[in-house]
Amino acid sequence: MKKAIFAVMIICLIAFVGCGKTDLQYQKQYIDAFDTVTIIIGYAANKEAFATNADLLYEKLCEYHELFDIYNTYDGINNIKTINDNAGIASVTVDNAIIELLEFSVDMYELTGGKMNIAMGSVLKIWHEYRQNGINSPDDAELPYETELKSAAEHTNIENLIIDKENNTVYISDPMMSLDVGATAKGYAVEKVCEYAESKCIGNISISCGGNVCTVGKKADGADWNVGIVSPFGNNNEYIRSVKVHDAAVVTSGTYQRYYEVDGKKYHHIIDPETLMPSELYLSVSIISKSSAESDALSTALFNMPIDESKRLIESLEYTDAVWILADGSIVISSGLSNNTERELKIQW
Amino acid sequence: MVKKEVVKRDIILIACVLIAALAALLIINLTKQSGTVAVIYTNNEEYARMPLDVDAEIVIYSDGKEANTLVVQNGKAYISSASCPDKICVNTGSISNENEMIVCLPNKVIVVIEKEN
Repeated sequence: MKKAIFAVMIICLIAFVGCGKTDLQYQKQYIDAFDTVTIIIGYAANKEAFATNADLLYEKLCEYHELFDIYNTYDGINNIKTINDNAGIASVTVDNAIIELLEFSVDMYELTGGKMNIAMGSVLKIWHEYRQNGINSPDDAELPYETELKSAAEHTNIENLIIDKENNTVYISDPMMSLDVGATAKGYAVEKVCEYAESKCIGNISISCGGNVCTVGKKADGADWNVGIVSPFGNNNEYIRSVKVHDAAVVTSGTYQRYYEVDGKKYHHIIDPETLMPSELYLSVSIISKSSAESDALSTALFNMPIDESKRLIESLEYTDAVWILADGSIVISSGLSNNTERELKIQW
Repeated sequence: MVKKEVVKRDIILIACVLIAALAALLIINLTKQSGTVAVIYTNNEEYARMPLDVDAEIVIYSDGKEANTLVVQNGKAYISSASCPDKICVNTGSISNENEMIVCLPNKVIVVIEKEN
């Protein structure tokens, strides 16, 4: 009898200690990968254990960054820049992740009727240079010449991108063409990192990489993640809406993310493949879907489509929804979303 | 009769242990220091911790160069000046709530509000 009572007491004590050891929520942030901020939120017994997991995931993200980089080369790696540098010269043997990303990007080109085109590197490069100059010396900020943009646009035919899946090689047959995977690479990489987390049994996490948020599972307490949509009017800490999700990705393309000013007017980084100018229809477009890669590609494509066309595309896709903030500041949501509270949205799938 | 007596005493003993455990938990939780700090990271390494309840100013060096100046005033933190061309960090304004952030991409500086245990 005494022994039994003693046992009960010990169990009680263990239960008490156990309560104190519930996994806590931690956050770790990094700067560098994909030239932006990455925020990893997850759960662990203590800060150190969480940091070990987060570092592991961030390292993986950096690997993808190197593979998908269009500006820098890295020792021993053939990346997207290597492919661009060899346009019209030679086919390049690349990592399977690059083949997958490029094939996915071509699929998205077709799905969106060319409103998102990774073969637009030549045009985007011009805007990039003018934007960098404008940011570095605001007084000398200029717009690219129309003729310059138009002649670059003659070298954006995605059919000149030749992907040989069997031999893992990529070749650009037009020497003037180049790839810019800015609309798909981050989303694809974050998705792959989330899959990697699952393979390492790291569950209940949210990874945000510069506007790309991908969640694995729910929060540890079983609640959905509340992903904020940054207000295009405030600073980066202000949210205009939030979306409750689990196992889903929320990706936002916004005019406020990268821009420069010419004569007091802002010119952002999302360039319409038809007009070759920054699209002025929206302040931001957010896509909620089960795939961060798809959300990323669609957020750019939808940004370049009038609202009716944009809506039609979203409604034709399963498990895919959108939040548009129009140029006048009004907010439109797709049919799979509803208001949970005034500022909080929930998905119906 | 003797048996019952034993059970009663044991129950009292268990109750005492439980109460003691609860009291201990309470004391631990109540005495926990929970200050709020603005933690500065440069190149993904912790650079400095600035308690929000102490007004202060700090010059942040990143890659050996003067990068940003962080001011802590009235329980809030903000970047007052920066060497970057875009000044997004300065325009972010002040932060004070847990996990709020100021980011300076060009200088690779992040300031984030953390709760200290």
